[in-house]
Amino acid sequence: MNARWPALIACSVILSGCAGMQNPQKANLAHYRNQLQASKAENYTLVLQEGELCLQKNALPTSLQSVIYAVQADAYNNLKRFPEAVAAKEKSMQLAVKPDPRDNLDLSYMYRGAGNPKKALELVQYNLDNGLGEAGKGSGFHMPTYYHLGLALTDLGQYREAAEAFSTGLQRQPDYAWGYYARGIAYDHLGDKDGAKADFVKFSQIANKKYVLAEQKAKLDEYRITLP
Amino acid sequence: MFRPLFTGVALLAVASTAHAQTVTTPEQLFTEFSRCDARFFESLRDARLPADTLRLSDYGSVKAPTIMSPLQEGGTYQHFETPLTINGVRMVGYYNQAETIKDVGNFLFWGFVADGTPQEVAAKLKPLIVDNARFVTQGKAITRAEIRRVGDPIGQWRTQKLTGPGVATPFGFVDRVLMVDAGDSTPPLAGHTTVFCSLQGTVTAPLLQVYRPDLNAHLLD
Repeated sequence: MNARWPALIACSVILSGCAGMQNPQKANLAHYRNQLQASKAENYTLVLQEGELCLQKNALPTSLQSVIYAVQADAYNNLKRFPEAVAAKEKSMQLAVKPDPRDNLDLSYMYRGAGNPKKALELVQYNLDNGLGEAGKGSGFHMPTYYHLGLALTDLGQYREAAEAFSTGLQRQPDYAWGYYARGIAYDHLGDKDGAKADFVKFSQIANKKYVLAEQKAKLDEYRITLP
Repeated sequence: MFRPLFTGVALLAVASTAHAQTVTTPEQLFTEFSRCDARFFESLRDARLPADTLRLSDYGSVKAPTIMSPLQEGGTYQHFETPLTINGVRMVGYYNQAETIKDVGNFLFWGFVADGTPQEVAAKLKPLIVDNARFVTQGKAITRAEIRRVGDPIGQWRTQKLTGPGVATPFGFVDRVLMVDAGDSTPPLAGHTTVFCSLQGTVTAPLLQVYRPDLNAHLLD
């Protein structure tokens, strides 16, 4: 998710040239650059500071404000400040010129973090109900939609349906390691230890170790699976 | 406060009773079959049926008519030594098939092979079919169709916005159909009528674990 923001910021800055700014244009461009660098460096506190400066001091075009709120939402998300992430994301979506179905998936993730899986599920279902695939209306549904669907269902304790959602996503993208891990968790809750183990083994084989979290390592340990 | 609790308990009790009933007639068995879910296989576990009709095997915690393999051509059919008569319909065999068609989905078919025309067979069986108000003629076949979207509660099926005959099930959906139709043109189905259930589309292992406990849920992975 992080990789999208620097690209978006860079594009927005280049295209808009920070339209709407008056004298301090250069200074504001510096804020953007700082925000970009902070995001790359995963310095999310700085991302928020720079974003606030841009939003407070300028009458930016709404499209650019939308991007800044989106970057802030991502930063809040990474800081696990989920209620603020939700608020920033919703602001970003309100200001967006064109609705992006992926924003609903990101927002779903944030609502889960904020402890509201019901709302998280509704957001994914909205996309499904309206044919809003990841790449737009009618583009079809792929792993991101089914992954977020499965995560919301998992949080709601609907493990069978969650496992089904992950399985569906894996039909589209069979090399998505986290799909196996998430399905393994669902199987684990269902008492299907063999199914869970098979998925955790697959996860351990294809996941990038750099991104495997402590809780995921602990689950693998529980199943006596070691990362290669 | 007590009313919802009581209602929940009562529902559980009804469900338990339903599961506990032993099937003692072919008609009862067919009603269970017509649900197109696990109940048919669960009921076969303890069913008391006429001798020399269905040959059964254990599959996990349930029983099912014995076949060689749902994936093996020529190994998906059991001929009954003695036909099983259900409400006047002679069932002469059972088949159980599964296959994957690339970019289209997974397909499972299981059911009986009957003597008679589809219209005759459907008319005799209709009173035994669960939710038979939706068992209607579609072209030359008689069907009861429903659809389920991935992520819907596992036991919930939609009866609106159905896919329709001859249309591929969209990705992310599963069609479930009970159908009475003319058998295909090759033996052993040729000249007979098939009475079968199907699951088709995005059929996954977690779904099969619920609806087809007689199968290895991962057979199509």
